[in-house]
Amino acid sequence: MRGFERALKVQFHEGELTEAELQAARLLMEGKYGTREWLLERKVAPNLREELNALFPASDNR
Amino acid sequence: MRWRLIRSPALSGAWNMAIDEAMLLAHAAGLTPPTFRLYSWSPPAVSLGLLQPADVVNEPVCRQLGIDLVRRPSGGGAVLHQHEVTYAVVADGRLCPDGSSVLATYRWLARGLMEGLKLLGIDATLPESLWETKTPSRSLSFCFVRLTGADLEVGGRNWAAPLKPDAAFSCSNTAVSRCDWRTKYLPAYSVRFTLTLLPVWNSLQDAVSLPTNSQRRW
Repeated sequence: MRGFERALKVQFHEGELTEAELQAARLLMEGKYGTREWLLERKVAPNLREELNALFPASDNR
Repeated sequence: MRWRLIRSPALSGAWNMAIDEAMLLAHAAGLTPPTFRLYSWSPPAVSLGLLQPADVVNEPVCRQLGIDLVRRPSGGGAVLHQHEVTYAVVADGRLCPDGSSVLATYRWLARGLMEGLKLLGIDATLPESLWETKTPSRSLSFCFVRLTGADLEVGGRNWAAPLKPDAAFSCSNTAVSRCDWRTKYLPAYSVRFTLTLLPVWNSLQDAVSLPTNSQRRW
């Protein structure tokens, strides 16, 4: 960690994932990374994008 | 500048990828600061690059060995994740002083890893040229047999390669890059490299103090 702080000129502060991040991770787990469709064919659940957009309205480039 | 540091316990490959993407989306939406996440993998997993065909690995054998399979959101070759600490960085590409191109960002992050390795007594170097590549003709499906201008080299071996980000991740001036720090576990020289680097990996674990599953939710 010290190496990164020094080289990148940043300071790390311990944190946690936010509730929105946790919720998004659950959606991504169910609709993408935890599925055979993603593993074999790179297909995601049809409603995943909408659900993520609802969580993060400003991010529309996925 | 303050960055959020998240230390995750060991998780499955699918959960690790899901959390990385969730972090990116939250940051791109302006909800979170630049974030550095440390994590490991349990069970061991082979991660495939975004565009790789799934049949580059033998799935039944992986299953037999208790090795998960997951597809990353980023490109590159297959990687076996075991005995390693992985980091994910989510940050605005404009923070990189050498420009926000993919390779410039890789090299910027690699400098942090290089400094950290120095503290462990390991003299790693970056290739002089951003565009230098050393690619052997065989085993191209494996990420770590390739050396690019942003990979660290120790004794001529590619040791820590930033994984190539998905183009979709370079959105809204946000760049994500991930770099895996792992033992070399490739068929040609697995045992020797694993043994050679194991003490270093243990030191690294001590250095970063990864929590146990019971200590944190993620």
